[in-house]
Amino acid sequence: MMYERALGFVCAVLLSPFLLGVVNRTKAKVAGRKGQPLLQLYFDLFKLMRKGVVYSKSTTFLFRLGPWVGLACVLLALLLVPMTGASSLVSFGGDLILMAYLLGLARFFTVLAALDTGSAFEGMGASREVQFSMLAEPALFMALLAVARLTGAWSLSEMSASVGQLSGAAGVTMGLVGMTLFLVLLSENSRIPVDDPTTHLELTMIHEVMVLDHSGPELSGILYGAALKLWLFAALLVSLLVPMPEGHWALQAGLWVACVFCVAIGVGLVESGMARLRLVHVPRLLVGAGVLSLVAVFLG
Amino acid sequence: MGITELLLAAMVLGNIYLFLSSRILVYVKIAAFQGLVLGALSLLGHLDDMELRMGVIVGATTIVKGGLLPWFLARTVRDTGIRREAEPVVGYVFSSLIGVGLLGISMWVVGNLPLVEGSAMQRTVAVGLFTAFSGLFLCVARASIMSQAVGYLVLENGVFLAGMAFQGEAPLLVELGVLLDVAVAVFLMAVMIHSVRREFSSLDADRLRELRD
Amino acid sequence: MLGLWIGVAGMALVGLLAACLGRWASVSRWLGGMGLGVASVIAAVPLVGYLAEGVGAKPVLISLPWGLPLGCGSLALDSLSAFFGLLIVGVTGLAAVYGIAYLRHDDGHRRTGGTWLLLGLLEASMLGVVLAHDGVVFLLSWELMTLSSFGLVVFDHHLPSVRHAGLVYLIAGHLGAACLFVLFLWMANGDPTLAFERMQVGPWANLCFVLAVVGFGTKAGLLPLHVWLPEAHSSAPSHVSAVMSGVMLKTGIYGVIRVVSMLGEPVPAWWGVTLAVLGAAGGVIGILFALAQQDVKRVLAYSSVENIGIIFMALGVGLLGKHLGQPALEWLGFGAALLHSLNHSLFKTMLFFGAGALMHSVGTRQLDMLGGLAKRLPTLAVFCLVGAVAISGLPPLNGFVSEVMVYAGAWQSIGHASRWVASISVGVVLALALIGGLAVACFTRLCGAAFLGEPRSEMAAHAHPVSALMLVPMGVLALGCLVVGLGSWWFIGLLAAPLAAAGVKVAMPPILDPILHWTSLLGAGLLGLVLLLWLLRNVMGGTHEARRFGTWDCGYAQPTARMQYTASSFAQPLTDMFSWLLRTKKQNAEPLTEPFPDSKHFLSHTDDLFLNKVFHPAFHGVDRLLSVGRVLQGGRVQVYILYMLVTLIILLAYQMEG
Repeated sequence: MMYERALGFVCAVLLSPFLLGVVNRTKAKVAGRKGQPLLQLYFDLFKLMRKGVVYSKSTTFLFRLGPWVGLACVLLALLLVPMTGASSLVSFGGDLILMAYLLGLARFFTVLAALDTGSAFEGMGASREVQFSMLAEPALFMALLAVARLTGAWSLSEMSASVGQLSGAAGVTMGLVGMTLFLVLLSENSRIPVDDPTTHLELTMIHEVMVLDHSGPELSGILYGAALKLWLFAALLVSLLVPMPEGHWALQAGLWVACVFCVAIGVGLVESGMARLRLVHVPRLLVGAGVLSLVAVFLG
Repeated sequence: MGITELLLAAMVLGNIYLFLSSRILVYVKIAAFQGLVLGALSLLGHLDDMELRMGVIVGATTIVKGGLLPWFLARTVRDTGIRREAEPVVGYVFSSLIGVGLLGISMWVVGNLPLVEGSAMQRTVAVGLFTAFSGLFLCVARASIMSQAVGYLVLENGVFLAGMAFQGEAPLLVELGVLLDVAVAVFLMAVMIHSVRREFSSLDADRLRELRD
Repeated sequence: MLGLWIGVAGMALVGLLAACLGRWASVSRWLGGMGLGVASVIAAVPLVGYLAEGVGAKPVLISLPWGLPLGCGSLALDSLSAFFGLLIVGVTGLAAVYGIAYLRHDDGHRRTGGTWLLLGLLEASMLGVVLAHDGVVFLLSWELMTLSSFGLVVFDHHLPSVRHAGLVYLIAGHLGAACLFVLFLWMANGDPTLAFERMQVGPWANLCFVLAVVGFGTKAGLLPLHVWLPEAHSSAPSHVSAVMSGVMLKTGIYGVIRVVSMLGEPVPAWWGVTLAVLGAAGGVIGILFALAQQDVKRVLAYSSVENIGIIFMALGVGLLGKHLGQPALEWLGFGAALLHSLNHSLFKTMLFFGAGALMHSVGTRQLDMLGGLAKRLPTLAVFCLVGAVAISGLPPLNGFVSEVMVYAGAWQSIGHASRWVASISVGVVLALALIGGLAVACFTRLCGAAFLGEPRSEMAAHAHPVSALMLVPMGVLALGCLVVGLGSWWFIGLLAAPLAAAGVKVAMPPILDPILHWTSLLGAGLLGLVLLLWLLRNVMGGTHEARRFGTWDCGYAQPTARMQYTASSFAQPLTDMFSWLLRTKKQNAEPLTEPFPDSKHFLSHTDDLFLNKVFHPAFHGVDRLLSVGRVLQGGRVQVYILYMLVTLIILLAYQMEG
């Protein structure tokens, strides 16, 4: 039993950089390019770990600590997310709140590390990050609340286990929840249409500009943390929305991982098909996501 | 989950999009989409007792609501060149929250009506009421005349949907009458919008106050 | 018990002595601060002992010799009083020690001995409030508390803004107290002793509840009655702000809990709903206003409004549980209210100490003048960081524990059949999520603007070191935050006795247990993991030497500290989004048009909406209405004597008739 639960976590730790490779490959294929290798992020992480590092003279210990706090928070949050059709490693009633707040703590330190440089660019990114996450968090909670109302559960693993038994009438609610979670995924992982992960220095940037001054091992920690976070939200989406068929655990796990990669392909397709929204319109998108899940709560 | 529920959910999503969007062409498209959804819904409702007369009525409403009126409005948008709402009276974010409130109110109202709890009819009436509220809200909270014209159309969609819940022939005929009224109103408004634009070179409904005594 | 009386007497005596010795500034400071600290410790010992007895502890009743026709001079110590009493002596004791260093800057300028007397009286009167067992002792202590804290608020009375703040505070305090007078007289039901145990409410419970919420809510800073709070907290000396925000507001919470437990059953539904709605509004609006403030202490003051909002939201959930007869809900609501009161005392006191230290070290409290202080004042920066994480409700610190209890309560009733109960729960969850996101924005802004980046002014660049006497109390509180956060599974057991005394007669719901255990465990795991990653990074990663350059500025040749993102610009997207609520006033906001502009200046400030739009108009209206009566006051002595004569005659005539 324990091995099955640990499998998902191991997958997350090992495969999450691959997920970003899939997103990038999808974008490249749609654009008619060959694209970077699927394993590019692994190479980058490995290279950065051995590289030297440049610290700004303005910074303090917070700048160096921030990336590691961020990474540790995401790793612990991943312990709480059910994966591969099994329960999560750590599962208890109310774990979803701890998960959301661990991500909040990661954000807290990322923002402080950005402000530590004293650069106007990073200040701007930090300011936008707190604005958008403040809107994404209620949307996430409302989506989970809608599922809780349907299933009567309040731990992520229980929810994931009982979505299979929902009646067809719950389909509309779950559809709305899925839309919200997908929008929250795009926003929290700074993907198009909220943020553009490929540019570093446009005035529209949010997440990438916050980590502008990080280099070497710290940057690798940040990149790895970002990959884990994308995995976390994709896992949440799949575990809560895709009921796993009965069967051998290996089959379930395989199917589940395939679904997560489908989400990555979906992200890639959205990025290829959409332009980034104007910044003033992003709050509307996120409030819209919250409203969708609020409707889901009402209907459920 | 039945197709009916799916279509009702589509109506609700259309209304929410209405609250969040600033493009008038989007408003028109949503109104048209809702018209088509209504056509599908009334077709579903009358599948078992379909006869020619009913088919003609349903077909006519669908064509008028989902095609003719929106097309006409879209043309007006194109001619006048007013593509987006410049100055909403109520901000978009706040509008969407009001939208949730309106949905809550309509569900609460319907919960107090003597209808069977959890029935399809109850749901249909609730969504109809919400759609009607959304149309009214659009009229109130958006400054441009174009939005108001679309607002009336959405309002009518809601009334039609609520009426449809009480399946039967007579309401449908009444509906047809209402539809004619709205159609005439929208045509009149479109003509007026052209004249207003010529006179004032603006389509801000607030400026119509200059016409008062 | 003896320790408590010695402590209380000590507080007054030490204060008096320090006031008499005001001529010798440093003697007075050390005597006042250390004396109050020792008196607090002495008073704390029996309170700790009483709480340690747990649920079984019997209330201790004491009757004072009483000569007044009203009241009976009765005091009682039960677990609820002991809980709040411990908060009071703990925070005030630390504040007194902190004050020794804080008031040193006034040596040679003016005498500060009087503040020690006032602080001692404030502490003693707060203890009186929580120990009072009849209406008269309660109201006397309440009044003394308001007056002594008023005296402390107008410490800098040479500044007009401080005098104004004091006036607003005095008026608000007395309007609140007026409600409490009516409340206790009403509840006494004609009984001249006004003893708590003989109070009967009868059919007027609803009215009593409203009076209690208005009266105690004014003191606690419940929206929209909070208007005095930002003014008073930012005017008072920092150690006094810490005491006021850390514990004096909590006497209002204590009052609500006490009166609600006296009102007894049945609890109407609208009580819980009212508190939950007011609390949610206070939480969200409070933190939004905090985000828009420039002054560090005003940020903290509005954040107190937010935290009081959370506490009232928890109380609302608890009352709702009482109404519905759901013991789990009741326990979670009231338990969260108590625990958040404790938590708020810990981190808010610490942050106010930090604000005071900043002010002394730099000389300004304006966020846009600070910056880069983490390099000059690293210890202070770490303590403030701990406070900021805790107050944002993030794990592994204590703020998260009480917030998760409110979440748990709300989540329990999501599936409730009744639609309005479910709606309230959804509202509570929504409000908490919003508050969580906004608090992160608010406190990253505070820490970032004050401690990180480059100094934005000469003053910040030459900050003085902070005295150890200021840092030690902060360290104690920071440790408290960590202990309550990581040891919550153990700590929660201590709440059982106060809750039982507050009328919550149920056991702790089992759902809370796994959350607290895992929160503690994962919190410890988090600290370990961060340490591990940090070590790994230093041992394994980066074989090259770390190099230091300026922050990368995209090739711009001459960056200055003025080009950093300021606190105002950091908050601007959010303040603009909520401009319909905040009504930030901007001067010279029009954009530059000419290619070579002259020097420009820009000013923006956010005033309190409720003070400007509700209370000022209302008071002006009352003023206009009453000014009719000024005709009578002509200023001629003869006329006044005529009034007396007429009154006398009328009274005589009335007496004859009677």
